[in-house]
This record gives sequence, structure tokens and C-alpha cells, in this order.
Amino acid sequence: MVTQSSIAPQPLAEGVSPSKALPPAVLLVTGKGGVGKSTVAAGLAHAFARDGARTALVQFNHGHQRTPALHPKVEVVSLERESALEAVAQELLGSRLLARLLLQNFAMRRLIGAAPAVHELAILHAVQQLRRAGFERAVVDMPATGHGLAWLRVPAQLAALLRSGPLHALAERVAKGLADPAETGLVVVTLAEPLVLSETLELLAELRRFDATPAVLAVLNRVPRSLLAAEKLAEATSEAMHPALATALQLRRERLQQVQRFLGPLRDAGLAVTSIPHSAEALTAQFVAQRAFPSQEAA
Amino acid sequence: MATAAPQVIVCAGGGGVGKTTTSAALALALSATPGESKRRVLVVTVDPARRLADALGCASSEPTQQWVEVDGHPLRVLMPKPEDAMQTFAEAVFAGSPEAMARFQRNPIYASLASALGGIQEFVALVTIVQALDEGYDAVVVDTAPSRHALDFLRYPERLATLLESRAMGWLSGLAERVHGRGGRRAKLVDWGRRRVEGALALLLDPSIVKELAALFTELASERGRVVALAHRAKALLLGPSASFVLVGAPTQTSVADLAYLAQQLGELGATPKLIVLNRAEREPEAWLTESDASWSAAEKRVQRALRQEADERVSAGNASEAALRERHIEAPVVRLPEADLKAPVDVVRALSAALTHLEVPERLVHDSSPPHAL
Repeated sequence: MVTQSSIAPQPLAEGVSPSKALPPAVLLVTGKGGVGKSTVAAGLAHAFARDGARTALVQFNHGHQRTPALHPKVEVVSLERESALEAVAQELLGSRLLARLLLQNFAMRRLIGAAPAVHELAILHAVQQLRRAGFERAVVDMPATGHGLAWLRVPAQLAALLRSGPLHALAERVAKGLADPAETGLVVVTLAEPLVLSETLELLAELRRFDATPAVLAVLNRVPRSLLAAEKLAEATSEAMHPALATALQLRRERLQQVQRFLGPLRDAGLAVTSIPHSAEALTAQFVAQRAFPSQEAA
Repeated sequence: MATAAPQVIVCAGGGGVGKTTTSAALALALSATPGESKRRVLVVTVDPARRLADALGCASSEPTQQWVEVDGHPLRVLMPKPEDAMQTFAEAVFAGSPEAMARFQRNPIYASLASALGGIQEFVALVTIVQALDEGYDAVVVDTAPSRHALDFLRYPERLATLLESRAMGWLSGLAERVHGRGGRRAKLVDWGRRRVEGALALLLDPSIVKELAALFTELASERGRVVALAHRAKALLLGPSASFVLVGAPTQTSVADLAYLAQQLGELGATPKLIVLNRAEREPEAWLTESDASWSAAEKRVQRALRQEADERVSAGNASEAALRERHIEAPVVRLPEADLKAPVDVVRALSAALTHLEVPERLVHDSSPPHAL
């Protein structure tokens, strides 16, 4: 049995299925680049589907991304910027012809090309529309921290900028959905590395500052073996220890403390926390689903 | 004094692969390489995360431009702040026309644009680079934002120039009158499609917004010459003969896919990567990891074994990634850097800089290129 403060791999919440532990219908998965967002998003979608929910795994324009084999109730939805924008224009103008005319206009195309915020609004709108299409859950593989955060602010900013009119109303609807804890939650993926941890803390602080989407889950991904081994090694060590090992150990102890300092306040704030061991041979969505989000029956 | 174009080294790669650290290490290696005369090196980050400050041990709250000295080697560091982007943009566009600049900045849309426009940040980084070059540098290292955004950065000058050069600007700046004013009557029958577009805009947007938008574009259009010249200069610098691209990656399948994608996109822009740097992918584990001592406790041996296993995984992942790159016909030489198991980010930069120097990377990047061209 691991203690509450340990970083040893642990599932979401014992005896509670991921569907119960994470209520919002739309989960936006973000984190610094390279932390394994896509795999965690796929694993989470897999877990929801395994619990019986029809789930959309949403990806953006990831031309070269491989989609892992997932539960049959998961449907991979690729949202393209252009078609999302066309859908919004069509909805607002009530005419496909008019929407096309507007978006294909030579000046509008250039204007939109230089001001990409409209695309972000359109894509977030499309995500919220997925429930109308019959999905009970949507797990969104978001862009990396810096840009992902900018995305979440776009609807509110556009709503403020546009003041009135149908596009303003749409931006306001999207912003409202993003800030509603019953509808949207943020999943933050992080690693036990100093730079990644400090960027994750900044992200969480920014979220609170802008009253944006509430964070519901932090995933400590790919916890290295050596960190787990160092956690088990008692303070007292032999005199004869190799200097390189002593240095490596010291560094890992500091890193462990850093992780504790990071996780403590998150747990205190009521955020769900789960950690996943690093394993070169098992970096798959199923592995993530099984280790981090086991179903009630399995636990 | 550098009168010729400096060597521009653009570092691009996916997220989380150590791009900023590598850029800083490369800049330090370029500055520290002993030579005939000291190289003047500028390192600039386009990444909004501003991790460059951490990597070089300088305060990120400090001014956008500063000199940093690492082990006696001076580096000029540029970190354009996102919150200053619109101000810098306005100053660059309206240099010499303070009244137009004041009108531009009074426009209510201006303030909202400041945070809403992603591309402005990229453009401002370019402006900052072009301006800094007037100070004369021998080498400039550019740390780009992750993956696709790296390419946006290269394409933005073109996009902005296209927007401003085109008749689109005229159309946009006359928009307010035609959409909500009485000027629309004069439109001819051939303009049917455009009138429809204007009608659609009137349906979507508040009239005052269209008016402000039009005013903003009128101001921009009046200064288009300067913006276009800046954009073209930046493009010549980034895609010209004195630019080299260094792709930075990690030994993972995702990162290799990113590298292949970037190499292909670069090809479409008429460029090829000069070098690929794989981080955390040493060619062999450090010697001490294989030595054992009977006096070690079982717990110590467990830690050593875990470290050894991690190192072995990096070595084989590096081998697999190199093979995968060759399979995808990416010909650029691959430099493999070790995991720098150090605490302070600056120490990591030092260690990687030493590794790059040892592998003669600075020489390969600076001398192996076409002769410098004047801008």
C-alpha cells in the first residue's frame, strides 16, 4: 500500500470508476509539449468507453498522428479548422451558399489567415456540438500549454471584442460552456521534471486568474524507475557509495521533494491526481487506461 | 564588425524535446569556440513560454534584451514579451508617423487584438531580430515555438505581406461604408458576390465593429510599404543562403514523426535541415553504471540498476530513431546528446554546449555554408 504522499504509480481513485470520478462531459487534455498528452487522452477515452459511454476522442489536424487501437465505443473525431469555420458560418447565416461566399471571399480569406483566433472559436464550438451528435463524452487532445491556454481564452476575448451580433452571441455561448464545471474540465498532464512541473504550476495559476476552465485531474506521467527506486532508499547510505551514484541519488531526492511540493497543494485543492510508471514497452492507451483509470470491477 | 549577413541558425522541433536548452547550448558553443576573433552571438526565442531565461540563468522579468555572460562568454539574449507584442508591432509599422500610431492605438479593436492574435507574436519576434541585426552579429540562433508553430513563424512574413500588398486591404478599409453606410448603391452588377459577402458580414457583426475594423485596416494600409519591406527582409534572412535549420528531437516515435514532418515542410519552403540533434539519446551508457561493488547495499544496487536500465533504453531508442530517420530518407547528419543529469538548467546548457563543441557542431554550422550574402 502506497502512502498518500508517495509518487508511486497509483490509479485515479480506488473503487471509483473514471466516469464517476470525472463528471464533466467534455475533458480537455493539455500539458507541456512531449509529456504524452495524446496517449493520456486516448487512455481516458478508452476508459470511458469501457465503462459504457459513447466517447469521442477529438484530435486537431494531426496529419501524421497514428491512432492507437481503442475500445469500439471510442470514435476518433478529427476536427479541421476550415470545415469547423464553415459550420459556424453556416449556422449563423442560415445558408451554406452565403457561408461559402463569405469564407471564400478574397479579402476575408486573407483577413482570417492573418487573424487565426476565429478558427479556434470554431473548433471549440464544434467540440461542444459533439453532444448533439449523440456522444456522451468527449476527450480532447489539446495543443501544448502555451497555445492551449491561449485557445481557452479566445471565446471570451472575441465575445468582449465583438460586443453584439450573432458571432458575439456564439462566442459567449462557447465561453460559458468552457467555464461551466458541469460541462467542461481540464486534464493536466505533467512529468516529474523541474521545468515541466514549473510550467504546469504556471498553467494552473493562469487558469485561476482568468476564471477559465476548471482543472479536474492532474496526471503525473512516465514516472522514471530510478525515481521510484530512490524513493525506497532510506536516508542512511553506505560510505563506499560511488560518487556518481551519490550525485544521481541526491538529484533524485531533490526531484522527489519537488514533486511532493507540487502534488500536495493539488490534492489539498481537491484535484484528482494519478500517476503512471514509465515503461518503454507499454506506452499505449490501453496501458494508461489500465494503470491510471481502472474500472470499478477491476479495482 | 559584421557587414555581411550573419549566420542564422533556426532551431525547430516538436514540443518538450529540449529545443530551448539546445538553442542556448548551441549559442554558447558558438560564442565559446576559440577562433581568430570572438564571435558576436545573438540568441532569440519565439517561444511564448520564455524558457530561454531559465536555460541561461537570467531573469525573465527583466528587459526584453539583455547581455548574459556564461563562463566569460557574452551572449545577447532576446526574449520578446507577448504582452508587449502589439506595442512593438505598432512602433515598427508606424515608425516616423506618430499621429497615425496614436490613432491606431486609440482604436478599440487594437487593445483586443493585442492578446487575440497569435501571429502578431511571431511577427514581432521577426521585427526584433531584424532590428537587432543592425547592431552587427556573426551568428544568430533562433529558438522557435513547437512544431507546426515553427513553420507559422517562417510563413508569417509572407502571409502578412500578402494581406497588406493585396487589393484586399483596400476592400477591407472601405468596408464600413459599404456594409452599413449608404455607399453601396454605386456597386455594379458584377459585384453581386461581394455585396452578398458584405451583407453576410453585416448579419454577423455589430456595425461599430465593422467601422473600427475598417479604420484599423485603413491605418495599416497607409503604412504597408514599411511592413512589406520588413516582412521581406525577415523572409530573406530566414530562408536565404545564410540560414541553416537545425531540427531538434527526442528518441521517440512521435518526435521522429515530427522531425519527418518538419523536414518535409522545410522542403516545401525550399530549405533542408543541416543537422538533426537528438536529445537524451547517448550512444552508450556512462561507464560507472556497469561497475559494481560488493560493498554496496541492495537498495543502492537497485538505484544503479534502474539508472542503467534508463540509460540502456535511451541508447536503444536513439539507435531506433536514427534508423527510422534514415528509412524516411532524411539525410541530415544526426548528433546525439546525452541525458545531462544535472540540477541547474544552466549546468545542463553548459554540459550540452561542451558536448556540441566536442562534436565540432559550431564549425560545421558556420563554415560549411554558402558564402555570406549582404542583405
